[in-house]
Amino acid sequence: MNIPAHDVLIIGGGGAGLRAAVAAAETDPSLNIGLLSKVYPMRSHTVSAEGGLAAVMRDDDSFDSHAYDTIKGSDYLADQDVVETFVQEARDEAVQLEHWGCPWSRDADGHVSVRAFGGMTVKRTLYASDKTGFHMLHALFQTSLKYQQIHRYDEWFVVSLLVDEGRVCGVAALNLHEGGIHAIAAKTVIMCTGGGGRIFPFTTNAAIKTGDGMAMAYRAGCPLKDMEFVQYHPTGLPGTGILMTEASRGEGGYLINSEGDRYLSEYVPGKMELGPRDILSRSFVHEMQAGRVFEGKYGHYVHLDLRHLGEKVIDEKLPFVRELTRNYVGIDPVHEPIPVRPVVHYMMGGVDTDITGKTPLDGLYAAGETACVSLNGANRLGSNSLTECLVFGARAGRNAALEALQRERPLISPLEQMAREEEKRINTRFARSEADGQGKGERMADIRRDLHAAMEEGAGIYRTAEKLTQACQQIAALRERYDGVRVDDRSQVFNTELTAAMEMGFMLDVAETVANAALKRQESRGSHSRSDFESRDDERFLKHSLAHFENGAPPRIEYKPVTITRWQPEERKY
Amino acid sequence: MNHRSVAPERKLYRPVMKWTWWLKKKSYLFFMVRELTSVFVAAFILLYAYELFLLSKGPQVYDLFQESLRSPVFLLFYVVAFLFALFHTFTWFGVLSKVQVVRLGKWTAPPALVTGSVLAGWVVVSIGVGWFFLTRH
Amino acid sequence: MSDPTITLSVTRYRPEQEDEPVFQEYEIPYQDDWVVLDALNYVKDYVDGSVSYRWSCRMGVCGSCGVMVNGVPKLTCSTFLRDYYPGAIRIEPMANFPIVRDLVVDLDDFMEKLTAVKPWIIRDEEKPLSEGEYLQSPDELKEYKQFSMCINCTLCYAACPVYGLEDGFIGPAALALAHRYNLDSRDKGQDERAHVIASSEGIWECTFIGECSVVCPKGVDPAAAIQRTKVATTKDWFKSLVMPKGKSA
Repeated sequence: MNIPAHDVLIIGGGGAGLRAAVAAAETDPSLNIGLLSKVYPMRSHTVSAEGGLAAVMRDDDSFDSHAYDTIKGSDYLADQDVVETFVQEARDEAVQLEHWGCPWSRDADGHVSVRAFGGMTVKRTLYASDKTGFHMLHALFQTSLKYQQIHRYDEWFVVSLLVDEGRVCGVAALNLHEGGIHAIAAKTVIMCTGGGGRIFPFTTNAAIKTGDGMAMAYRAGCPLKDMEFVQYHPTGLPGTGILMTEASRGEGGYLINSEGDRYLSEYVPGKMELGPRDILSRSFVHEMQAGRVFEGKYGHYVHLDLRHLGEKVIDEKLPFVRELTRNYVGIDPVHEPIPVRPVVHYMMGGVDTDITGKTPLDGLYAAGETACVSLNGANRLGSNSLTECLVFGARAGRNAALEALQRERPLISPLEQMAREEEKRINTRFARSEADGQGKGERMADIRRDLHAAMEEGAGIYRTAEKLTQACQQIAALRERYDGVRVDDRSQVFNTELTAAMEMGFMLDVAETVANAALKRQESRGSHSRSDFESRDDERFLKHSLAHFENGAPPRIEYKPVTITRWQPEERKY
Repeated sequence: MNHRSVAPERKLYRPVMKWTWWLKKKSYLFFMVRELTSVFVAAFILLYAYELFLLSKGPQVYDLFQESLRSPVFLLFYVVAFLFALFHTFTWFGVLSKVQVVRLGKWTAPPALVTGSVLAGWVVVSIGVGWFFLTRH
Repeated sequence: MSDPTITLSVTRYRPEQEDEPVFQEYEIPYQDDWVVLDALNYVKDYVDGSVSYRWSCRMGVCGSCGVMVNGVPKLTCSTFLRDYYPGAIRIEPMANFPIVRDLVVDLDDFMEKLTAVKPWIIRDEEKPLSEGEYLQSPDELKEYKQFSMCINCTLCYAACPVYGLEDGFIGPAALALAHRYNLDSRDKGQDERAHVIASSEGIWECTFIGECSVVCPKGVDPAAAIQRTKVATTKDWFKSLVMPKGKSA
């Protein structure tokens, strides 16, 4: 059997994956690089990012300032050596992206413009109107087409990592167009599959954000770090969860409660609408509990008021926001305020990596939202994650490439065997014969709905031991129901019900690590708020959680220290 | 380079486009008529070239030709062809702004202005030419 | 009183079962703020899990969800049921592409053509990163910005009869993207691209039907891009006759 083999195999074709692919190609042109994605790369969720990409570009800015903002924003859980490297490499990455054609918005003198953003003391967020992620992704994807040595697998779905003698040596992947699970060999694998926001009901995230890579690495023995930290973006549309970029606040928009007040003066008077996301999301909950919010078809909301910015500013700086609100809410932000509420947006946690992008699992790297380096600690500042994709995507790409140059190709026969076993497992699990149950079993939509309810209720903005314990129990119960899940689709060709079933499995794993890690962290830090442990406890919890896979049992949670270089933890006030 | 196929030929269904595709939509039909106008414009040009050629043959030949143009068949053809030619002119000017961006320094002409001015210019020139020929003798 | 419903007529094609696509009808609840994607998701979640279709962002930016709705190329995530209700809605895969399965079409040809036009910055010399960004004025950005908005949804290919008749045609989105790079002040690749885009399968295959621009959900106006490329290419050709070293701006 002919198994494709690569020096570096990258899973996921978004900002981090594409950047890693190009970095690997540039490290050594003789390398054979595979780039595999369950969707065409330009569909990756990076495309939905709107606000911008942070980097120190101006003379009035400094690396220390960006580092401090990031570390404070992280509620002191970020690894400071990582942050220091990040802020130093950000600028070159932003310039490189510009050289590759990204249409950054410009000042009159031709330099790239920067705007204000949440938690940033200096304007340092580069932007391409309000579709920064879209322009970044397309610039990266189109640039990647130059490199003949990048071989793409479009619409291939990875089912699992293949590990031989403690080392990752490839993947087992489903070719969506033909069915059939194939082994793909690789000397190094970089996981860039994004986060898992779809475990929650209201999220800015696209359908594809089901935590695939996180779950696969976890199952293969790689710990997931800081999973309890889930970021709610303060301004998403109620119902759909569609993102209303932070840039709308960066350009001067107000958040108004049902009494017509800019209520953030009560919670974060120093920064108001440009406070960090975790604080703004909590403020919404307080306002809701006090009865000072609006109620509509999709629950409670407040107003994002852009009217005072004027049509000219909105059309120039926030045209996509105007288009989205007109299409999906029937509102023109030039004349009316936009209904918004906090929705799940980003996972600070992920596959445990170090500053080079390497995970504890031999042969496996990770970058982007999938990884937890940790750059963002307990709360991420807006516009740091697009930069994170570039900086750590490039690092992972380069380092994986260098490692591949030292390595032998993996042995074929163990891979073939493992792929056949995976195929058998999937077929037995999901595609039962006519006799034993097509038409029986539970619908995936029902399991998904109940997972959503469990996560929103138990692991939302405010958590308690009782609710988290209940969530953990509910997830365990959902696992059992998932064992009997029903898949109607028997076709081999483009079977999206089968891939959805596998994604459900990944989501349950990710949800379990979130709930269990959250239960163990008895403090409030960043985006993890416990009503029963309201303050930050540096003595007990200034450390990263590590969730280890315990097949059939809840994850084993351990801890490792945070790297502190120059910034000692302080009280986090804005 | 893309790995679409590790296994043999997929069974794709390839729809065949019928030759009547242009009847399926108003905009497609409009397009076909627009393209057809070029036939009539070409006919006018050929006629005019022929006319010029006959002019070189002397007044008797030319006058005979002019007489033949008064037949009802030709008049019908002329009316139809003229309508098509008008349609050609309007549609051509209509899309002009898509083909050519008009700029003066930093200012870009809005599409309506481009089309409007060219149409206006055409009307003026047409009136001028018409006046010139109709007020001869 | 029963709740309002709407009927969807969806193309089904399972290569193992059928030689030709067939229609399957689904009657589902109607909500006035639902888009076609919500309706399809309802079918997949509660009625028939075997319907296959592409989608991701649900906000009109990823380009995954192109289909034909009542014969018109549309994004399912941006097409509202209320614009059709109470009439039935016919959902078919995008025209002019081979059908893989149900509403999923084969996009390999498009991906090849996208690559063929060399959609990246081409320069003789690169500035080192330490020297910073290439300067580009807001006006220079405005020149090409519109053509950079393409989400690769390929609705334009579904609308273009030329692409339906001549599958060698490079097509609207790819040609618009080439134009975007040709207009970018940082790019010097116009000549290199000309071999592909000014070929008989490139811009000169286009007969300016204009439907591509009509269906484009992002206002890219590929028809304009192609006609302007025709003008630019022709100007270049004349210039090359008169001034062999001259180039079109």
